Amino acid sequence: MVNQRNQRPLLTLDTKQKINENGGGSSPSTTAPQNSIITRKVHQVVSISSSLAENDSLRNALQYLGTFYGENTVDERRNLRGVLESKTLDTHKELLREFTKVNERLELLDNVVGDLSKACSLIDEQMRQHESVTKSFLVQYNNTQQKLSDSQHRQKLISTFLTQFQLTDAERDALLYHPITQTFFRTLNKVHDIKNACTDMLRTHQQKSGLEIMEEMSGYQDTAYERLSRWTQEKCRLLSSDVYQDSYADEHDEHLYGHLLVEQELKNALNALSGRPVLLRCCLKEIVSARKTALVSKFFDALHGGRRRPIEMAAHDPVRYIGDILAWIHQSAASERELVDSLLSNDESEPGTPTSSSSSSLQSYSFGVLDETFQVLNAHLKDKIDQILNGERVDMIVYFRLGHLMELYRFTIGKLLGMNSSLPCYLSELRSMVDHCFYDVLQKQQVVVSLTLNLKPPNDMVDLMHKLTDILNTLNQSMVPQESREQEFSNIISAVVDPILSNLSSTITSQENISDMYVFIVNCHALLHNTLSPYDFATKKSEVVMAETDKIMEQFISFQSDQLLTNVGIKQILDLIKNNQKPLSAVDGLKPEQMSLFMQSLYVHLFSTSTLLLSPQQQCDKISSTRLKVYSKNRITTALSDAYAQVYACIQDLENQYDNAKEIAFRTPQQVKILLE
Amino acid sequence: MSGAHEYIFKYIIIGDMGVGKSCLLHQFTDQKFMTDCPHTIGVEFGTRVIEIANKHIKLQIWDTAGQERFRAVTRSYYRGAAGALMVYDITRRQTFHHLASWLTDARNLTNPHTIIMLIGNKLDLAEQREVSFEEASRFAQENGLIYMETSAKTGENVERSFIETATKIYQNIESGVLDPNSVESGIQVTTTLIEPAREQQQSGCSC
Repeated sequence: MVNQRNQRPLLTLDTKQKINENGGGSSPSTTAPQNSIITRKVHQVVSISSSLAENDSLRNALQYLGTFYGENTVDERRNLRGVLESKTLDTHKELLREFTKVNERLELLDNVVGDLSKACSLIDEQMRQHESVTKSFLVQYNNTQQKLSDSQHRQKLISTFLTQFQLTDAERDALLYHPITQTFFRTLNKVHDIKNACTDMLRTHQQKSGLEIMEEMSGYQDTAYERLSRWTQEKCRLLSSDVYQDSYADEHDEHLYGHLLVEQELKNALNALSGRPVLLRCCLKEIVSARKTALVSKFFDALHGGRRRPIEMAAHDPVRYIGDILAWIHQSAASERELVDSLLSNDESEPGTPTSSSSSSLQSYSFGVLDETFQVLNAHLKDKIDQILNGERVDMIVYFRLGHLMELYRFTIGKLLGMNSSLPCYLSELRSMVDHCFYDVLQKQQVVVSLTLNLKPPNDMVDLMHKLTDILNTLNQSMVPQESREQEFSNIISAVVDPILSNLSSTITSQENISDMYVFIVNCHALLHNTLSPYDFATKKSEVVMAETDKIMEQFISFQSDQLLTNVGIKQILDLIKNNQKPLSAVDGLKPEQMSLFMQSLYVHLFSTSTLLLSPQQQCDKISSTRLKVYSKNRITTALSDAYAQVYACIQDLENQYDNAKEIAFRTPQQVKILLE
Repeated sequence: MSGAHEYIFKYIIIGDMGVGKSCLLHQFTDQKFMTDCPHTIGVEFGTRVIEIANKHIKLQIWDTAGQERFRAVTRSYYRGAAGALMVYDITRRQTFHHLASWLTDARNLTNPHTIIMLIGNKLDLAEQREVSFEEASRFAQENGLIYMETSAKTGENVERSFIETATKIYQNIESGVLDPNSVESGIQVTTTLIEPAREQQQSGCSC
């Protein structure tokens, strides 16, 4: 602003000077010719005008001049200098005034700067003071910083330690208060791991904390296991729920089975509890009792339920009835086994399953659980058996079949529940009970085998043999191995066959009509033999019977032959031949004329064979076995022809000095043999 | 999760001695052929879980002894079977002739909805065949049975026969013909509750 004000007067001055110079140039008009003056002036004007066009400052100056310069009069021209100077003076005065103001301002500024400087030095002073004070703080700060990073590191370590050796609040809650879920098992697993880690810690110099943590974890574990055990027991109690629900409400008489839920949690729980055998056993007891309930109600449902074919419908047929019951038990055993196996499976792949070494033994409990569960059926089974045993008179074959049925199922069910478990063992008990009944009845079946009129086995014995055949068929079809089959067979034999055999052999001596006796015994033996021979396991016994028969047959044949020879008289002749010295023709009774008479009567007998052989043949005909019948007949005729051959040879012997031997015995033994046959 | 299944179907395998009942069962449950299969004593059983319509179904299969002397015992096992596989040997005509008697037993002792499948076994010995496919097929048709020829030795059609029977049973349940909750249906509904999603969620929250 100051500059602008100053510029204008300056410009004005310049313009004035120029004008002055120009004015000065035009004044000396007298010294130069007029033309040249005018020319110069014109030139001047032209140059001025041209310079005016170019020079802004000159133009400004002239414009300014125009503001106060009026008429171009002489006066005016004379006064112009004065006017201009006064104007310049005014301008200077004004400048002075303005600068005074500036000066004042500058002085003010100087004061301010001075103050500032003072303040700065003051600050500097203070800064210096503060710096000395802060230095210690800085050191402290650095130390603290170091400590902080140390602490942070430690915090990290501690939190790592805590996650590894302590439970979070959420975990603790899950373990101690919340419902049991997979988190519970994971946490329980963690507690277990922590305890294991603590064991490692005890080997370091952190024994004290190791022990403390261990104690804490044990506390958690105890509480958690107790909770788990209670929870599991409750869950196990629900396992009885696959019983049928209210069949009577249903018009169609159909039995609805509830769904049996086997939750993964329950499996995990049982797995986890295998670390605490005492608690586990309590839970297993619950399972057993729940399954017992379920099993019994299903059992009665199968027996009486309103199904199309309840088992009870077969109650009139004891073998079928007990067979159906046992088959039902077998099938239930299979299902129960699957259930228990799925409950007590240690599936290590499942999350949250404790990996304690003892869990591998979980499966070993399954047999025990099944064993106890099925015990509940023992009493019911016994009831059913008792019903049969105490009921109406039962044929003894039924006892026998029942016994074998039990043997079959003892084996079959034993394969599922374990051979030594209670139900199979009980079945063998029941079997011996039934067997006892069987042998009881069997012993009472004994028949006193006494001679019959037709010499055939008595009806009692035939009946008994029919029963024996039934029994042996059952035995043959049973699945018991050959050895025990033979054992059982020998029991039956000693109860049935042996008494008959001894009975028969004792009658031989006591009887008078011994021939009949022989035939009778042979017939009885044949019946026995026929009954026994079809069975592999009876081979030995039937051979014994066979040998016995042969013995009796020999006795019978020799008796019959003896009789025949005596009747014919040939026996006495033979005795004389045997007991005397040659020549026999001199012996009394064997003299030629006596022999001639004897031979003649013999030939008469021989030619009427029917009368001669009638009695022994009739006897033989009473033998029921065709083979033995023919055999005995042949043997008797052979005995006679043999005897004749002896007598004939004796007569023909020259040393015996029969003169007309050919006449005394004119039939050759060959002829006699043919004749007899 | 082999134990997870929604249904249990009870099957029974019947037929003459030596037609390969036990071998069929073994081929199905173990995918193996037993070369020296001993005679079955009484009744044995096997299980396998199969999948039908995204449902896990456990087949509980009762394999009966074919010997006549066990007939009285095996009859006790027909009760409550959902499916019956009636097996004969295509190389022994005699076993085919006995089917009528087996069928009578099966019809009398099971419930009316029991699916009975006729199986001609020993397809691997087809060159010794004594019963033609057509003849058996006619027999099956006359008696309303499903029919299939299998080989327990090579495994041909074994799986199919068990699964086809199960599919029929399942269809019967679906269509309401068969009430799975009734005992005599031979079906048990056993929901084994496993909900992994739920578990994961919960564990996510607590950690």
